[in-house]
Amino acid sequence: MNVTRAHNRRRAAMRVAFSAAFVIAATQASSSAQVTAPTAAGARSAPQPGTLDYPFDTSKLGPPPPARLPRGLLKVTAFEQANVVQAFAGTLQGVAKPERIGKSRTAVLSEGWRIERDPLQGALLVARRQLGEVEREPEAGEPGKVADPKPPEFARRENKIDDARAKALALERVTKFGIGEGELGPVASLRLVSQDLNDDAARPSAVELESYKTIFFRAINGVPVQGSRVVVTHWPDGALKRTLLHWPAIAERGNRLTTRLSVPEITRRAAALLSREGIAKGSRASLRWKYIPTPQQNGEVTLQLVAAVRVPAPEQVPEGGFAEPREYEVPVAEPD
Amino acid sequence: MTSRQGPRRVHRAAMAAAAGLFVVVAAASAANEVQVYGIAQFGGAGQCGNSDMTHPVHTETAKAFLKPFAILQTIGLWDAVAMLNNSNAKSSLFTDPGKAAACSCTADDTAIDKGLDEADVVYVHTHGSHSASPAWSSLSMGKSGTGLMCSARTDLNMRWNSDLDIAVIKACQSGDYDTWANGGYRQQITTSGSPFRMWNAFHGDSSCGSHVTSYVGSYAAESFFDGVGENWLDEAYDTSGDDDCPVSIVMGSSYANRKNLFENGGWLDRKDTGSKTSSTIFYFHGCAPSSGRKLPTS
Repeated sequence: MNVTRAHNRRRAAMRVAFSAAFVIAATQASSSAQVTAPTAAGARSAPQPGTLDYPFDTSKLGPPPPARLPRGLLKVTAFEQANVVQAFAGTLQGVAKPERIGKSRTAVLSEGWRIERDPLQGALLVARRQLGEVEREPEAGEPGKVADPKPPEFARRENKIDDARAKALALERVTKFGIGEGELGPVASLRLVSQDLNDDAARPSAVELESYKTIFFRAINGVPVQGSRVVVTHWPDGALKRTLLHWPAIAERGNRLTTRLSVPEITRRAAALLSREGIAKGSRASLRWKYIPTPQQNGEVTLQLVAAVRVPAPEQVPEGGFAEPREYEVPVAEPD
Repeated sequence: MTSRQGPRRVHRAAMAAAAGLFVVVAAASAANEVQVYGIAQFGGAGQCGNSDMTHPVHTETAKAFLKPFAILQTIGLWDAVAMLNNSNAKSSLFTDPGKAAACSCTADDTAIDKGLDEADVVYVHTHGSHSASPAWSSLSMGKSGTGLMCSARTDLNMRWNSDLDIAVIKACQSGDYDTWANGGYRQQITTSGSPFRMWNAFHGDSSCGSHVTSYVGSYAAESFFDGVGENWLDEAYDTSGDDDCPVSIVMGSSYANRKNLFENGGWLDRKDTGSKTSSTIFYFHGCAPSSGRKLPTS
């Protein structure tokens, strides 16, 4: 870690500690603004046992989400092959018989696409088939023509789009699949790049753009759903390359979407959990809402609200020592 | 398995792939082994590190990685699975005999059903660290004692020259960009003729919790045939706190061969990348983790 980075992190830590202290004080004084129905414990003004052992940042722990699901959520039927094809492949030609490649996962090969579906897990992988499935390139001294042009799939493609265009193209696909605004959370626009380090070269080659990746994270009522994401990948020329998707349909019943616990009660529980887990007293920690999905037999999931506690990695780490940001879940959900 | 057949076997599988999925499976299922190493317990008697490092999730993710292979084993598409957690994951199993003198430690990386270089695919979840110069990454081990090291290092211990093709490392700083740029992986863990071809890891720190169990299981299930490198980046990227920056380092004779494995390879289609004379690192432009520089943008 360079000096500037370390300095910035110390400053950030001070800011967090200060804001956490302020937030704790504020929530202890009056927590009613952040909870739907404070419990008796939540109404106390005295510090909760153990909460001051950890400087919690609760700034991301807004009011609890509502107990209802938004309308227009994805259905299990979206994972039927016809819908998957129209959304992420267009057409299939020369389709082979599906092959089982897992407990409930099947694969279909066509001339242009490979489609893996797992409706019971709410999972898909749709990838354009490439000539990469031929033999590897011959090396010097082996039969073959080393100087032959690379298959077109491996040639660098002209860059004709940008992050915004890739995102727009990706959004068209996920919308066509059946994912609506009501369950779309943050979107990350990323560029996959590569560099080579050849033979005994002293320095890597220049950074080369491989593809644009748009990652859609899932959020229900603004709360992230653990494990749900769609990654839509476009080549630089704008052609769709692949889609990886984990987005199981959410059951209409059986969800535990909200809580009546106050912020002080949640921080008390979080402090007790961190203590049980052996997290050093004084460690910084931040809290946010999160939904944990539980798979059902029909391919749907039910959601349970938790408070996720994120503990960043220590600032200084000796060789062979510990460096790992950790996340724990504090149960907060109300029973049905 | 005890004899090296990796490239030839995968070569056959690659040829068969053009003819259809089922043929690939039949050809590739001659002998496929996966071994997982979840190191979760630290600080106790005979263990390494301190108790702060203990984190049970490390064995949960190992179990999640193994599960899809076990399912395929039951339907005859995979041959062998093994889990070596905590004290069963010791430095000798990560150490090549050719490096025993350098580390002054026991080397047993081809121990049957135990050593990393005796499997085709391995998954390791533990703590890690790195040095950019001199270049190395280290992995915290599950057992201390005579002849054992508590950190297995890419420079002092590892060289995959027997059977291992692909390693997936869920450990902080296990695929550091600067370490790679300074010759820290290919030059240390392969020889020109090594079968080893892919090191999927993290630049900088990577977060840990039940979300990792979720994405590691998904990654294993979806990577039997395609995207064994690309799926890793799609699954492991995270930006909930500091960024989690997964990388895929692929060794082979040409960019096309390396990219072929990254995009089109899988556990059952471990595409031959040729001589391990060069490497390609795949990563997300500008990813900014803790304990690692912001990745290059140009």
